[in-house]
This record gives sequence, C-alpha cells and structure tokens, in this order.
Amino acid sequence: MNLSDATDEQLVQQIRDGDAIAFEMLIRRHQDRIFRLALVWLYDDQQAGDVAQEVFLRSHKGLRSFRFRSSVFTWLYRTTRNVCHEHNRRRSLQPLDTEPVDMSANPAQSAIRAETSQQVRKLVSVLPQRQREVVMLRIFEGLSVREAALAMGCREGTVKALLHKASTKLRLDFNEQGLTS
Amino acid sequence: MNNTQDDTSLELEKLAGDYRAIKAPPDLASRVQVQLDERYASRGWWLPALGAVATLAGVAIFLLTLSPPRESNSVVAHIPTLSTVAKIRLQKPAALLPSLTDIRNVSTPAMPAKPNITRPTKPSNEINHDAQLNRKKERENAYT
Repeated sequence: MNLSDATDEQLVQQIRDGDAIAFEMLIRRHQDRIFRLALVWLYDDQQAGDVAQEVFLRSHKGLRSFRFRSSVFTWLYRTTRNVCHEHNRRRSLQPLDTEPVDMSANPAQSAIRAETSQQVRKLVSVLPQRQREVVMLRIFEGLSVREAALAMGCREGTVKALLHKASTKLRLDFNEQGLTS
Repeated sequence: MNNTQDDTSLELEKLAGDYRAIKAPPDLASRVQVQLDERYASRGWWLPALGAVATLAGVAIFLLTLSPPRESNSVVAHIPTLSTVAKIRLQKPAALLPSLTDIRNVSTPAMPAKPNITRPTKPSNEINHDAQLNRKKERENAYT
C-alpha cells in the first residue's frame, strides 16, 4: 500500500503494527496545522515547536488505543489544546523577564511567522474561547463545519451559531452561506 | 460601508492565507523520532540485564541437571521436596490425652483432719449463766 495515499485511519493501523514510516507520514500530514494552532495559542516559535513535538509523542502512545470514534485530526487537535493549556499554565508560573530565544534557522521567516500569528492572535483575542476556536478552525484552518464540530466536540448547529456570534462581534462581513455550509 | 466590509474581508482572506503559509519546522518528524528512540532506550535499559540474568540461571540449571546423581548412602541428609513437606500431617498423641470419663472420675485426695482447736475460756458471766441454767435443768428434772 502506498502510504502517501493512505487515509489517516489506515496510517493508524500501520502505526499499531509498528510501522515507523507510517508514523512519520502522519506527522508530516498534520504537523503544519498543529504547529500553527500552537503558535497562535502560545505566541512563541520555540514553544510551538515543543508543543507540536509533545503532541506527536503523546499520539504515538495514544493512537494505540484510538477507537476511531472521531477523526485523527480531532484527536490531535484536542491533544494540542491540552498541551498548550499545560504550557500556558507552566509559563504563567515563570517570571517573564526575558524575551523568548529565537532558535529557528531563518530569522526573517521567523519574523514573518511571528507577525502573522500576532495579527491572528490580536484578531481573535477579543472573542470568547469557543468563538475563538471556531474562527481558528473554520476560517483560518479551513475546516468544514462538520470537521470543526467534530474537533470541538459539539454539534454542527453550535459551530454555525458560534461563527455567527463571532462574525457579529468582529463586525466582519463573512459570506455566511459559504462559511456555514 | 460596503467598501469597508469588502476591505475587511480581503484583509481577513489575506491574513488567513498568510496564516496557512506558516509551516512547522522541517525537522519536527525527525525530532519526534529521536525522542521516541530515547524514550524507548531509557525505558528498556533493564532488558539486557534481565536477559543476562535469565541466561545465567538457565546455564546453572542445565549444569545441575548434568551433574552425576548422589549415592543413596550419602552422608548428606535427604532434602524432602515441597510436596512431601506439604503432605506431612501431625498425628494426635491419642495415648497421652485422658478421656472424658477419666476427667469426670478424677479421685480427689482426702481432706486433711480437722484441727483440734480448744475452746477459749468463757468469761465469768457466761459461767454463772451456765451454772444457773444447770440448776434450772436440775430443778426441772427433780419435778419430773
């Protein structure tokens, strides 16, 4: 079986059988989304990388007992959310007297990343937690309503309602027909 | 108004596009793999040691089974097996234990003789009283 064409569920089955390449494929498939979400939540390149790494490490163990009740991304998204909360809690206990060190190889690219994530963060920071999640998943990650609902663990109607409230609050003219379909 | 909204939408689309252009560090997968290898290595450090101990124990048992059997009149005491020890039952010392009838008919030794205690001398009033009583009895006897 060609692993690049395999579905997430097939990859998980392969991982359970001890296929390291399948696990690497799963990482490459989801790493950008996980990293971006962590970046907006944490606003730190280095820590977002650490969180993404931790999420995949946990997934290697956790996917062995995965029951396919949700999509793999849903599972990874929830793990990312939990790990980010843990990081934020730990970070709030540490004194922030120094700027985070930029460990990336390309400082210019890192600066662009930081600026973009800062803008996204600024945009969604006025929203309550759930509306922020909907905007992040639906608008920025481009997930369908169904996928967003699965990731957030709620109904599709809830996603639509939260999106409507968020758009009102942000005073943005979303093309709601397109977004809520 | 519409122009403002269009501008905002365009800005948002641009922002979303920039956001989606963010990529994870290219070495993330290899970092995860290295971490996994380290975790498994640190978790399984005792496995080789356990294997060595098991091998040694196996060799020892093999050598013991190969050694010649001991002679029957050997000086070394025979060591009973665990199953033999488990089958051992303590027998009751029936002859030594007394029966219930024996217990009931236990002959008790005779009581010691009553000590001969001399009566204490009565006071004079009592003597007089006794004498009066005696006299009274004598008088009564005399009338009968």
